[in-house]
Amino acid sequence: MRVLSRKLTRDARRRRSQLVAIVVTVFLGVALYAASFDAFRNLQVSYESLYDGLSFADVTLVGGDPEAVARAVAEIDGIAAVETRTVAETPLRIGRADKLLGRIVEVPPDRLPEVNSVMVLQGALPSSLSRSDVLVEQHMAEHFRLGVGDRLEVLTPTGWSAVEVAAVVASPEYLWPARSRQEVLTSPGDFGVLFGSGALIEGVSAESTRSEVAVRLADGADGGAAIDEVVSLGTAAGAVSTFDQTDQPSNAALQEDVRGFGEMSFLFPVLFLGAAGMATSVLLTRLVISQRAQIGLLRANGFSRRTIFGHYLVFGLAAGLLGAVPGAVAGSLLARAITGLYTDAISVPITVIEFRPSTVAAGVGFGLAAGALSGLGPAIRASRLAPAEAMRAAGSAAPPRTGFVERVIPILKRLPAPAKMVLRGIGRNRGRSLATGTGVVLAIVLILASWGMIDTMQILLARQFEEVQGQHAQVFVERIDTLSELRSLDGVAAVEPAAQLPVTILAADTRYQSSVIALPPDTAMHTFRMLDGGDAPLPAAGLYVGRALRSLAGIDVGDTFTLVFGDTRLEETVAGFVDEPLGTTAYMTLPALAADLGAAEPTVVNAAMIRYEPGADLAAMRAVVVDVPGVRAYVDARALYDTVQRFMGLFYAFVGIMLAFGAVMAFALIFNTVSANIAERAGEVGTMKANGVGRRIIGRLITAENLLLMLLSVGPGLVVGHLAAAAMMSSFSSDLFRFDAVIRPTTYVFTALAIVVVGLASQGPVLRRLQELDVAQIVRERSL
Amino acid sequence: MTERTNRTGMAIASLHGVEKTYGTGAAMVRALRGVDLDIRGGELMVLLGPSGSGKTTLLNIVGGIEPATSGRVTVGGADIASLDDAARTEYRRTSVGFVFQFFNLIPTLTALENVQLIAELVGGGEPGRSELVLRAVGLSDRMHHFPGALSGGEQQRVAIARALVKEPPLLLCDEPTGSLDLETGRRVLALLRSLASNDGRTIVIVTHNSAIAAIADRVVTMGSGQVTDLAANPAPAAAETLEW
Repeated sequence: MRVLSRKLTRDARRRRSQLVAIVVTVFLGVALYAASFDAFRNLQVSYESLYDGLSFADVTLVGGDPEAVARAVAEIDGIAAVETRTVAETPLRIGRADKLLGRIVEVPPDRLPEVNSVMVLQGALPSSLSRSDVLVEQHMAEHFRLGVGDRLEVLTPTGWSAVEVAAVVASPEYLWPARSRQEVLTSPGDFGVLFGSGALIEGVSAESTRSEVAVRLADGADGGAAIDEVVSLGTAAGAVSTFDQTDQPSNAALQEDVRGFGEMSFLFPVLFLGAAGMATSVLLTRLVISQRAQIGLLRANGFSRRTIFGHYLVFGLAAGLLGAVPGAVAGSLLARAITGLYTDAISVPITVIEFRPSTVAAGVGFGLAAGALSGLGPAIRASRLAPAEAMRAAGSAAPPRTGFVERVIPILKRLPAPAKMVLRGIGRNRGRSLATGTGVVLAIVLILASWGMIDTMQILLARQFEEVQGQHAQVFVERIDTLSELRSLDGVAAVEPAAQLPVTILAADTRYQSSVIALPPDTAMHTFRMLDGGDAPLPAAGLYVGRALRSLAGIDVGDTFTLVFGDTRLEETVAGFVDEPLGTTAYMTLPALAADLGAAEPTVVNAAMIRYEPGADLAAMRAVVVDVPGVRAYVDARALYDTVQRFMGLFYAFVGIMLAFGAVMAFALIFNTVSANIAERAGEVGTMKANGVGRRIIGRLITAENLLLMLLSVGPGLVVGHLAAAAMMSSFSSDLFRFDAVIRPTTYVFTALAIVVVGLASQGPVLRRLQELDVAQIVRERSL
Repeated sequence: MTERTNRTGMAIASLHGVEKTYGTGAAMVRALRGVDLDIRGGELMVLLGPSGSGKTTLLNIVGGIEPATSGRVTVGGADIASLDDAARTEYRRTSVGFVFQFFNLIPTLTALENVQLIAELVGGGEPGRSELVLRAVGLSDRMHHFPGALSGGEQQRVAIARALVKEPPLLLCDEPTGSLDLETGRRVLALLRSLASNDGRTIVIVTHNSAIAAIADRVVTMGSGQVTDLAANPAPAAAETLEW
């Protein structure tokens, strides 16, 4: 059917603007899919590659006699390597002005560890690591500009002890430098990691050290079963707590992020391809309506239903294919750039970028599927047209009649004729009006889902750092006496004692890595926002825990659970659930903690929360506070906030691109429906022109109709958009980040305005074509 | 009703008790009410009647583009009333050609391509067949023009060429001059007359214009869905002499 194909080509050429709009939308959808999916896979493979290369531990056992625990698990089938080590939590000092939370991880003095190895990025591993040699984790080195030969100090019971940087390294445990499962957003200025010899760690206070047994499974081992056995035997051999890769703080944070990419690779392309499908359906439906007589003629001449069906379906498929092929290729290329930017931003030393033909094939398949699905309806409609009926009727648009609104509000019948035309035009072709409305709704969904994420992130982070946390800084102190010195400093408004302990929460079958923060009963440094939205003081007995534990551990208010830290196990009661954007932390009063530990309250205090006077210079205050001898480490709450904001930079860029894409999609979709609107009434527009009605008046009538339609669609669009944003944010929520969609009222207003502006702009090319409308041509052809 | 003369060949299509209704209940319309009619090979038959008399419905039923509600319609000995959709499609492809009042040319195809489209459908025929047919209808210098660039008469001649290219035994024309001026209409009718007289084609023309009846071999007059008169015309007039 060469001639029939030629007809198809020319039909497409006649509607090239609409076709281009569809192709662009499919292109964007498929490109987004390929870019986000390949970036998602590239990141996964990059991490896996690094984890494999550096033997990242599959499971870690904490506490007990490490040698005994190691012996117990070493004989299990499927174990590749077992490494024992000691980890010390001790403050670090760099120069005189910086004190930060530090961690020293033991490495063998003469070799790289068999499990949790490190990659040397600068310098070299000494043949024998002395007590004064350290390897500095790359994020800390970068923040403090530390290089080989530089010196820093670690706190020992006898005071600050100098060490020298032998090398800068990357570690699979600190690709994302999270201090703990609950402190994944630690500022590199507040927390740093060193790798040193056992001799160095021996010099650090024994109270702050813990033993660990890191276990690496062999390739091909049954991960789940082997880990269960390691946990079971290790615990029996004395390990106090365990965590696997899923709960390892750095990996948990990175996987959370990668999961976001995975979800984006599904959600956004679905939106775009849905919009492209809608536009294709509108265009094809219009094509079928305008070619009814041709279809009737072809059928009358013996063209089969299948041929007619295929003829119109091919149109949708072609639109899908034209957008999908370049989209898949562009997406794959974009994925390379995104992966590179991303791994560079978080300093992943190995970046694996793969070209995946399967992604290109899937992208092309999605484009084709969108084209086929959207073309299916019109193609079936065309193939089912009875020839006699097709040639008898002029079109299928519902005959204009008094609309529902006019029947309900009779006064509208008194409107002038042009206004009635506008009003009735909407009900004239309900399918097209519905498509325009759906297009507006989809575009709003895309914009609100993207913009809503920015709003939600900003509002919830502000809530965390400005409402929930009342302190400007948290300092770790040697003794409670230090607090009086802090209170006496100029610029300090308030200081409260605190205790912060890393713990494992045991409830039923759940083991959850968390932190307990103990504060005075009447603390003014932390606002406890409860699940019901109200604020409450700390409970006299029991603990508040983060809301995520409710579902994770299946516990409720009044239930008991076990807190494990070091070799201590405490039975505690849930007094309530706090609703906080970041982390799933447990809170209790200092007196309650002291009572549970059987210690005097002053002895359990290891930190202080500080609030400065309004307008205080935070950097200057840091220097002053760090200089107080009893201050071991300083955590700047504001710096953490800034770190989070920086971390969000990539995210904002991605969302910004989505917004731009959303505008293009909205433009394409509305342009197509408006084009169909005008093409559908070419005859009447021609007649109006023939009767001397000017282009501007006709343009105003069409604009008024589309504007009314858009305004009618904006309300439902904002509702659906809000729900979509909520669903999307909820999919990003975890025990580490709790994101309930919070969207600023101004965002709704700007979104609505933006859609109306884009909608009106999309009319431009169509209205310009009114000028070129050849009345004689319309009459001669009797179809467009 | 009487049949006055029988000057042409054997019946190639026969209708017996054909009924056609549209809609149901109070909205039911009886478009045809028990029509009996033979269409003979090589004749030019004019179906004459006012709007709503059922003549186009009758033409559509003979052409297989819509089924009769009841009755028998045999064409070439086969009962097309009993054909399913696929068989009716095949019947239309091989046995009938249509010419419509509104030409129904595909605007994105040239005159030649409009004809070639149908030629390809029926297997292409010999090379150059489409050009030949277009030349036969007097469009040798207009065949590469798009419909929008053709006059009404030229468009209708393309439509006739398109119907002829598959060499159907039966050519069905629904108001072929309805959209044409007198002079152009005469030319189109002359072409149809010549196809019947010189090529031996069987042609049925539906019209409400009684003047056109003068060129027919037989004239069937319809009213209210029934054949009210069937008259033979022993001396068909030349189309060029018609006036309306």
